[in-house]
Amino acid sequence: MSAGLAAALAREEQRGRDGAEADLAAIEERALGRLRRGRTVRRAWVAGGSAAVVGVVAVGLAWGTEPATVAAPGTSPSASASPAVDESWAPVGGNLSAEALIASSTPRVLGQQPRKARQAALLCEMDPAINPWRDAPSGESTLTETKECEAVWVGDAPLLTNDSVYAMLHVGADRTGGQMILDWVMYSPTDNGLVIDTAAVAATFATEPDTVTPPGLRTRGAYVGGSLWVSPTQRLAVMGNASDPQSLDMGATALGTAEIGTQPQGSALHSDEVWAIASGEVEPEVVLQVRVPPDGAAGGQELILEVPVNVEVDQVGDTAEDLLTSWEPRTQEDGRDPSRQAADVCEIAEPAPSPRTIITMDWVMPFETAECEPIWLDEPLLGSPRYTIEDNGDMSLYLDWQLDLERRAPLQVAQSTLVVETAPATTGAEADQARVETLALTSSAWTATGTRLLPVSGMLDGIFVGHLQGANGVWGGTYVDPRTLGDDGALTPEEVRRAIVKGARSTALVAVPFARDSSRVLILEMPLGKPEIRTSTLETEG
Amino acid sequence: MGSRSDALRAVTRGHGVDLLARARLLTGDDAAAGLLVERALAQGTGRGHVAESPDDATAEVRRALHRAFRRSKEPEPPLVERPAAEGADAPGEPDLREALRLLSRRERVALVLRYVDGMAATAIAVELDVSVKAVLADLRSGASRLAAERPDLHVDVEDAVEGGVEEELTVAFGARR
Repeated sequence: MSAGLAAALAREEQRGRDGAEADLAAIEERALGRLRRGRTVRRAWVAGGSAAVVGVVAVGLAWGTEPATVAAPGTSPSASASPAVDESWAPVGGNLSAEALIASSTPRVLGQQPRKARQAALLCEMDPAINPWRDAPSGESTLTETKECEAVWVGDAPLLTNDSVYAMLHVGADRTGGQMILDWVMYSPTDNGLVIDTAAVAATFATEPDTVTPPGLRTRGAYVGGSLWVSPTQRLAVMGNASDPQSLDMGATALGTAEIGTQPQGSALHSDEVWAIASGEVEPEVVLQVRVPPDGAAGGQELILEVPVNVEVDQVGDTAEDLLTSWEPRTQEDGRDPSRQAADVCEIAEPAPSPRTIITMDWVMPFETAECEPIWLDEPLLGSPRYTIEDNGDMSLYLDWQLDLERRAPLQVAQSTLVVETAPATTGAEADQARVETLALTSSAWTATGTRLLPVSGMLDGIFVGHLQGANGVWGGTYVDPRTLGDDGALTPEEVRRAIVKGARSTALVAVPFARDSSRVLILEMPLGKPEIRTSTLETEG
Repeated sequence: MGSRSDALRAVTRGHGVDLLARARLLTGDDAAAGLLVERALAQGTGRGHVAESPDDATAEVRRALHRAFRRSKEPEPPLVERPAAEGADAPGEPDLREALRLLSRRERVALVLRYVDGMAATAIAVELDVSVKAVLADLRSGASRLAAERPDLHVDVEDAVEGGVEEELTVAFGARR
């Protein structure tokens, strides 16, 4: 027995209870702030049905994915379980290194499933001298090649499953060509020590996944074909030449985008498989191939996990260029005009450093104040505003707003923001603005030169942009707690509450990115009216 | 339980003191402990399925706390000297925090679960989501180091490795309160 140690630990822990109660309120509030930022995202995804709307998406998935919010159209393989698989493998326990996983590998055969679920993978025998990942730099790969590798099962349970990935596939085709865009985020369901190579994740699309077919199209870290099976025991692995090993522990989330286009039939640059997916004729099986880097230098074997992805398929949304076919200048004196859409074209002063491959749990989406040219678009695009405030007394405010997209065609939108103006008929300057995450509080967003100063998300591409389908909703939210967020210590929940109660004008802003110009963004404005203020149960609970 | 916020509040209000005391025991520092609990609350109630009961939510947060502490790579803050009145229970007894700081985080959390919660290595492995082999190694190395540094604690290395309750569910968090 070690009674002395047990007693000493118990005394030490008891000592830790002294004064603990006094610290808990602040800890609870900060934890709620973290949690709410996650909630923000999940609700954003589901506003208006299954359409993804905006996003701090990756942050939300870093906190977890609610089954109820994620459509899971089954892509279960047609093959049934087979007893013909050799299961005399060595379990790896908690060791998830590439070497240990390779040591546990057993053959995987087309159409067969193991008795106990394991991780699907590819084991590639390489010539160490020409292994493309040998001394590979981080960053984006400049090479896409495929290699025939052994299909295997590894580990004693699946490591990354379709529950670990949230993905949206957006497709579109017309006489000018076809386009498919896969945006995905991936996290590990448990802190299991798994390290993946975030620069070596490839998206694969198979239109006949359970057959053996000739090779298809490989392009920019992606593969599209009938199948990846080249024989009943071998599959194609997509390889690049960049490497950035990262742990998926502690809520870290990997993210990426694969965009593939094709010319119309008759063109030399036409792909039947891409066209079939882009035109909606076929819904492909999507598998992410994820390299697990070895502990040492890249050598004679490479292990690539195969992670099935349940995708929601929607139409590619229009971009700012599509909305700016007809517009005219807007001035402060114009006031409101419900027959037109108030909008702004904003210059992005300094695009925020974009997390291309991974973000950690503590990552916060960057925002900036942009100077914008006010304009009118011919037709109203947004309507039916809903605006509520959850009032937590002195501790915090939680504002959320929802709008409907009043057009049939889908539209690309980024994170919605909010500007609250206490004296909108006057003019202001950037120095007058206080901002916390998605919220800006100011006397007036109008400047003396007739421009507008508006809060804009710094993330305007990839997974941070949703393709809002027609008649669906845009949602935005902000949590005002300077102790947690610290953007501006001068902005307190009480200031925001007082301004809104006194009649300050709240305007929701919806950012529409340009397809071919990352230095600008189009902002759609929608006045919100008076909010419904709800007093939080936080004040009334014991 | 309808919402994650409610779950978080329920855990904080029902078990926040226990969680913070555990975090202080592990970290030896009030600020680090507060941050650890904050993250564990958000992670334990924010990830995966919504907990079906306050007990489930508490268990998730507790797991998140222990796992986060074990995997943390952040440098540990220096120990703050305690006022004499808050020092050791027994006159002349050294500060246990200093002895715990001699251990790695992995060893520390394993020994705390072993001797404060009475868990066996198998149950600790489930709690920490690591292999039993790794837990056994941590218990052995941690107990050996403590036995050498603090003979007054009468640490029995074999008892550390082999003892404890195997069923995780029989351990009630905060039962010593």
